Amino acid sequence: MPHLLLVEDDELLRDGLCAQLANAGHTVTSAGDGAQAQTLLESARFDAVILDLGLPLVDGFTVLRWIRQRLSALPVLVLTARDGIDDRVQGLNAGADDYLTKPFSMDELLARLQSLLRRSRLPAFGGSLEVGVSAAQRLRVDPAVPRAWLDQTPMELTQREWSLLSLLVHNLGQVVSREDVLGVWQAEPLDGAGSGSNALEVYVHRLRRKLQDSGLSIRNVRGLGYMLEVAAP
Amino acid sequence: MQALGRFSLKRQLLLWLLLPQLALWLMGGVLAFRVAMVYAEKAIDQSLTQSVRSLARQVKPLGSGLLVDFPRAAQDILEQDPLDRVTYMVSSPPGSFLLGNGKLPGPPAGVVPADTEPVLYNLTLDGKPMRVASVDLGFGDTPAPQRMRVQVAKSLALQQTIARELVRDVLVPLLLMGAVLSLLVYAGIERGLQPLQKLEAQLANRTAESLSAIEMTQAPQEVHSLATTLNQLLTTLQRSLGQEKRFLNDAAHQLRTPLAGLISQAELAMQETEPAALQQRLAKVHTGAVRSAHLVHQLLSLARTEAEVALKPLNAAALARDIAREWTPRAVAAGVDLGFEGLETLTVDADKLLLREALGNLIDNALRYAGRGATVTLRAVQRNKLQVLEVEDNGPGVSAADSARVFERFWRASDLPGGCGLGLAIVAEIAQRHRGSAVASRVAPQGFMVSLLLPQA
Repeated sequence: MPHLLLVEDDELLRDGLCAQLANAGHTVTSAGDGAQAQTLLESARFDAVILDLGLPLVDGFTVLRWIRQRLSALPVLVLTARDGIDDRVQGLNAGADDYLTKPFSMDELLARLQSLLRRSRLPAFGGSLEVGVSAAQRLRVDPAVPRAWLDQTPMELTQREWSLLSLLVHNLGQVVSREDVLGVWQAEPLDGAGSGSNALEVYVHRLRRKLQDSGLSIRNVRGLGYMLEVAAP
Repeated sequence: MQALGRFSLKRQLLLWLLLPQLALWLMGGVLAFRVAMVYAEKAIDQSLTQSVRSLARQVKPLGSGLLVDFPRAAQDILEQDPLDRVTYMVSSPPGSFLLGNGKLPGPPAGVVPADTEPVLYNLTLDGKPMRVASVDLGFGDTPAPQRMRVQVAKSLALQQTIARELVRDVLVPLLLMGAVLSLLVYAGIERGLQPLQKLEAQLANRTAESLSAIEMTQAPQEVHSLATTLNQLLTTLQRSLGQEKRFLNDAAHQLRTPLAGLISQAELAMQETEPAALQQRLAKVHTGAVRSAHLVHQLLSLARTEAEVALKPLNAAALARDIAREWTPRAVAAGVDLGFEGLETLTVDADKLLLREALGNLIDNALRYAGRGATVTLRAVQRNKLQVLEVEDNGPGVSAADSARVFERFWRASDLPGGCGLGLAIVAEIAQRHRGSAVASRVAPQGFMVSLLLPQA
């Protein structure tokens, strides 16, 4: 169970977020100011930090830089009520992995957090990239070599099918553009179906067949690319 | 009117008009003086040359001596003026006094006396400056040739008198004229700058509240055009201040209403004891809060469109695809088929954040109002030399009468929850910021489309 640190000075919002994050299955520790956050970060290990930028005592930017100096791999999701791109860029340059502008919906916060945790676990786990469709059905993709399992059954995948599937799983629920896929493929040897965007359709078609009855489907998004989604039950 | 040392129109004009005049007067005076002196000298030289020649003619060789036939009358003429005395001397051999009324030194070294041609030079005699004409002549027979020198000198006092008179007669009237001219120039500048002072006085009495046009009926052309430009600025200011005021009033109303609703629903929820009813109340509180949040976001982004923006060329087609990708999960959740078509590259001069806001608003609108099962297409094309970004849906659309009003602030085509009537107003504002326009059109057989028409980068 991921352990999160929530740093937010507004009590109403902190209380609400804590409860909702806990409901979503996270362990949450919260801090009301930057100094307290630093103390907590020094004393315990966290999987991710949700950080408000406008904090009393030690402001959010300072905390962010402080985190980057000590815990470079710790994913940080920044919350900001500030308007305008300058603050956002400044926030991201200082080391934020993602940001959300207040007010935001809980769904959005959870989705961004999920994607942050998935990304950060990818190299660290070394084991597998998992998508849980339901308790019974699971897709696991080996992040290093072309292997994947659907419900413990190994899938038969070519190198290119595997890298396409990894990319889609990595961006679950997000659109992957053709350019993204072709970019990943560039570094890989050809394996049969040729190259170019026609080839992409061939691979997508093959993957769709292999994912049949998995509860996962690849959506074709007109003019934009492909998106892996968990089919509605 | 202005602090000393600061740039002043009056001072500049005076400087540029009077300084060249002063320089001209001085140059004119000096020139006139010099010319007069040269002519006076010429006149003196001429009379001296004549005198020395006539005197030389009167000296005739007689045997081994010289006979000077110098009649009394001629002598009187030479010596008549006591103030402007003429001194003459005949010497033979040159330098040894023979005849005359004073001793005159020979020509200075370097001035070679030519035979029969008089030479002219200056010298000082008894402390007085003199002009001298001197001629050397040969006489006597071949076995014993001899030389004599005839010199006539005239005081330069006359020349100095002429110069003094010239200064009086030429320079004094010139200076008087200059003084009169300066006064006229000064008065002219004063008079010419008066309309500016009037304009200043008119503007000084104004406050931010009184932005009425400046009255300039009898102003000269330049001030008139300045006042006209100022009046245009004032009109624009007045209009935008008016808009601002109206917008603030509208916004206050729009913000207070959902907050009042929120408070009342929350109060009802607190009194509620039955779980199902409590759930319902809370759902309403949530809806109200989401609506307020959306409204605040829209109001802030509207305010942001009014700030200064820096336009930079960017690929709007790529930006549109990025935005569409970001919106895809929401479109999927709303049951809408969101897609992109058109050019790979469409370059426009744009502010990325504002353009993102505009396209986001258009997609948001389409997802909200086109309804589940609809198709929404984001398009990047070139049409009639314009860069076009548009969002088309096949939803119910709006009536022909309403499509003219969709860009008005706080105007809403439907009472579906969540909207605040600012989305398309923001889009229109952003289009204007990019020197373009936003156009709403109805699509056959059904649907609605908003196009951003932007000039080519």
